[in-house]
Amino acid sequence: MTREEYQERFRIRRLSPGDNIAEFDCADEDLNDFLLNESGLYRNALLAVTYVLEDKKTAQIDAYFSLSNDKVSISDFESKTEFNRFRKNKFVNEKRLRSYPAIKIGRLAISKAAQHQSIGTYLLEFIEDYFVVDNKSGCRFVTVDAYVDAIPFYIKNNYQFLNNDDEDKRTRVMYFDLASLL
Amino acid sequence: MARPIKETPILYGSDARRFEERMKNPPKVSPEKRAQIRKSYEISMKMLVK
Repeated sequence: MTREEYQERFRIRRLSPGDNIAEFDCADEDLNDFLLNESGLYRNALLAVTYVLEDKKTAQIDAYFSLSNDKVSISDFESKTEFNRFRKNKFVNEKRLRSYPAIKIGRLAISKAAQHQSIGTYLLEFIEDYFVVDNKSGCRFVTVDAYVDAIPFYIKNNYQFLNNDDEDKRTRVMYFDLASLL
Repeated sequence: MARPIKETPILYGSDARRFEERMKNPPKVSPEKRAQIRKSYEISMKMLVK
């Protein structure tokens, strides 16, 4: 599908209070459950905003993504243990912890019916330039907690691993540097 | 129940040093990919319900 065909067929809508999503199936229970039952809770608590890609004719939701403000923090300490030891002893020096603003993709899912049409890549591209061209505040990185199965998709889209070893083996934290687009 | 949105971890040691090195020289996307990203953005802004 070309970008023009997307425009002809879909609209992008930010979910609002009162939106009740009755149906969505991307073949992953967690991703389905987030949209159907939890996206509204995150919105009401101002923790995440969810956007849906909706068919103009049928109002069927073919994809969605959720965004939250995030940051990437860099420590001068060699390990978490060393950092916590300093914190306990109140030796924290702010200069030893630097943070960079980021936007986090909390969820990104494509319905079974709309898969294999490059919609995921298209949505990533939109999110990336949205925070370069239309950003309301500084934002250097896009972060994502990627399912292991989705890692090849993010690598193909120039995302890198944030660290060498994640505690949760089901997902890996990855990031994209928006300065790559300048 | 969906798992919570996970926090981005603080980087330490070699992870932190590697990240900051990459920040100094961000990998550039190809001109073709850059043009595609811009097109996706422009089309999306027209599709976005205000």
